[in-house]
Amino acid sequence: MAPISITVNNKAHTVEVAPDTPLLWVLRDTLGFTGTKFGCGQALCGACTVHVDGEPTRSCVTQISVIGARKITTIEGLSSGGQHPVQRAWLEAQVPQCGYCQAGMIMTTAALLASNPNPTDADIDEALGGHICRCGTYARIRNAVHQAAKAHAAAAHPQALTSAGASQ
Amino acid sequence: MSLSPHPTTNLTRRDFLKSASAGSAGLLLAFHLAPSARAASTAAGDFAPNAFIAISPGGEITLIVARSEMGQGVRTTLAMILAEELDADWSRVKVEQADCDAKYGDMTTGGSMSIRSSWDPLRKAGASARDMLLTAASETWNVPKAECTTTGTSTVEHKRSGKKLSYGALATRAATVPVPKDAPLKDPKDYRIVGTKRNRIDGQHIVIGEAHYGIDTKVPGMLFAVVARPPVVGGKVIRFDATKALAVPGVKKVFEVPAAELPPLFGEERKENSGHQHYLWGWRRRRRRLYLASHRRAQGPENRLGQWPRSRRILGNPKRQTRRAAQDSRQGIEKNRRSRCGLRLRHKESPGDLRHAVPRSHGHGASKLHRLRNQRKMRSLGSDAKSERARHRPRQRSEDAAGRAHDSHHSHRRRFWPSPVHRLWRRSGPRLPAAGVPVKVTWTRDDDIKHDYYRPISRHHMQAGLDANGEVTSWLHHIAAPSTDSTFLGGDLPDTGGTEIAGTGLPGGSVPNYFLQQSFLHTSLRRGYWRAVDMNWNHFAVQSFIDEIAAASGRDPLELRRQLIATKQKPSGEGDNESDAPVNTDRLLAVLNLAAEKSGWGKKLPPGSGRGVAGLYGFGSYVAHVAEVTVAKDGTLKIDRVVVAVDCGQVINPDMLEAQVEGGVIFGLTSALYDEITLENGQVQQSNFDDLPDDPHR
Repeated sequence: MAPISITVNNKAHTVEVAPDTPLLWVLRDTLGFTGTKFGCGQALCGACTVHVDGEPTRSCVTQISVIGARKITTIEGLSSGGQHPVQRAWLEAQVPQCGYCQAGMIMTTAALLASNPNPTDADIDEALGGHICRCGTYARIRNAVHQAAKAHAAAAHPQALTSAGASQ
Repeated sequence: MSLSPHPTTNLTRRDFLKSASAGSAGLLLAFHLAPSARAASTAAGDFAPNAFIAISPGGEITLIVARSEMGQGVRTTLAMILAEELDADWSRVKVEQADCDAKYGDMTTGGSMSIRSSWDPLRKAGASARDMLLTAASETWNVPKAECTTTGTSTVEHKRSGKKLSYGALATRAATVPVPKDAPLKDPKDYRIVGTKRNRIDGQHIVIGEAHYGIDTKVPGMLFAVVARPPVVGGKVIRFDATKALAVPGVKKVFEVPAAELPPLFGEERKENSGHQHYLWGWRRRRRRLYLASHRRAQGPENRLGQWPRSRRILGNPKRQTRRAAQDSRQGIEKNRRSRCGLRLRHKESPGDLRHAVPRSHGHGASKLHRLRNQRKMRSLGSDAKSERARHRPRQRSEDAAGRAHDSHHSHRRRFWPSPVHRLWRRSGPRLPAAGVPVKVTWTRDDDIKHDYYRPISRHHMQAGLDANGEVTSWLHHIAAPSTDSTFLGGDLPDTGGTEIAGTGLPGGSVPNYFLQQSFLHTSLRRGYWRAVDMNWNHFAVQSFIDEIAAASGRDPLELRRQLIATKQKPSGEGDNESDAPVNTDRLLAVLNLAAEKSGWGKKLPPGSGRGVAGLYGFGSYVAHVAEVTVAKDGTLKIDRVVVAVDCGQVINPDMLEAQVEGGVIFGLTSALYDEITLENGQVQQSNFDDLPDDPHR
């Protein structure tokens, strides 16, 4: 097995695994980033979602050999101390119950807001429709995405929102 | 924190609480939390503590408790109860889940018992600890104890002198104070934590990916394993060839694990009935390289519907209807049958036959068969509890099976998530004597769906009779279902069988002539205690049947429900536990009325839309739902709104209660509309979320 170099959360790692090993297991078992979860192994539930160059990607079906120089971000690297607007909104709305699927939900939402700062309910359903939460937190997730979008906008344009009377 | 939850003294007397701080600084209070209210009431004998409050000199307050977090919020709510009576600074109270140890006794988390069984003991323990801190302060300052108060900030105050001391500073002295017999409890009107919204203690960990679940556990020297199971339920291994599997880099060993008799039931030592299994060192897909030949059980294959045809025969033949007559209703029903305007019961199941059963009086009859599906157990509190329970015996069993020291087989408690994938130790530690090292067994989603413990299929036959005034005068409910208990107790027809009839007593039990019957079906499939257990299927039948009676007699389904529970006949009082209060029909009526009011029951809806109502008692709570549903022209359903009214008694954290109810609605809809497990030639046909849609949201 030839060593494979990958960048995870802005840090370079070299791993010795079979080239067809799914990224998920490299992250979890080899590198110890256990915040990314195994749910179905077939890209059906979204629990394993990470960012590959900012794109939400199902790590359970992504072979390590195709990553190349692209940058991987996991839930551990999304922000320092959970300060990303999506993470704050998730706490604000008290979304998680058991919490197992939430890392994937948060990663997909963060990517959604990066490309679409003001998503509609339909946009949210489109982006998160492939994620499963067995605890049934969907209603809170939708609220949290809207909250995060507001916070995102406030962070980007603090003055505009302040003058409009928003309180973030 | 250096406090150890291992009291060095022998705590075996009749006290409820013990101060057990020997050898440590700070205060450690040991007490007993029972897995059920009934157990709590009988636990007054030998004192076997299984929960501990630790107050460190630094002021950290830790509740060490053998209850598992699985999203229901016990880490937060149990801490809230303690913090309330302790009058503690909420932000400095945390719950630590006890690691596996026999001293915790039954570590079951299930039966909706965590809060119910912890409420009294936790409050008493918190109040006692507070009282001891007050005593310690009064001794330190040499002032009357009555002049000392707590301030809700983990501080004792003496107002007259202006003196203050933190709990941390008082903890070590408080440990020398005798444990009070009856420390006063707070008046509920003074509550400032219980009943308020508090964020989850572990929310931050979840959103940053640092909440640890069973699958995240790592111990030094650990190997990974997956299990190749015979595809036919209960199949036996003929032979296997590990040559190719062993050739895969990293694979250390392949071996067969002998089958065991029965899986463990709560608090019991049992071997498991998982068929012969092969453990393959290595990793998931490598398992495919293992050649495994197995054959079916001698009993023959289960077909797609399992015992479905047989259930039809049983329900159609009164002579085969045995077991479980509630009240002496058989006689009552016979009497009723002969009366002039009463119902004539006939054990026919199709609505067509029923026409003959309806007498020429004003009586009405209705019959409904509800086929409920074999449903996958996920996030079943009971089932998870079982796996949790099972995970906590390895320490004990590891000696028997592997002859190894306890400490080398330490078991960890982690968060649950709704899948057996978390079952790190469940079948691994003690069952891998050939391993000699810690092993993490991971269940893939396929494993989970194909080899889980399932909620069993059930078939219901129901009949009712109405008198001339439209009063329901007789009620028959015959349930044919495999026994869930027998998975763990053995046999098809166990002496117990109680769980299969849960929830049937209301409103049936309030009808003058009530007859409940139960017939067991054989199945090779493992059955488990799925969320809410039998309440689900029995009330799916009961609530649908009430609607059919309403439709047949031209009455409003809500009004009929009100009538049924307003009857003067005493309901059967079927609590889940003997110590539960009897069923209170006034509380059920109140939630029905509230849900009706909030949903605008009776108000017009657009064509194609309608409302449905259900109201029931279960696990100590009264719940009513009103669903607004639109049926499209092609027959597809859209659930527009569900209004829920809940009376669960004392609410600890309203936001978590709401979260549980929101999730419960989704879970219930999933259960009703999706999630069917089918068998073909003894094999489970579903394998993952593509063929087992798990999400009504999509």
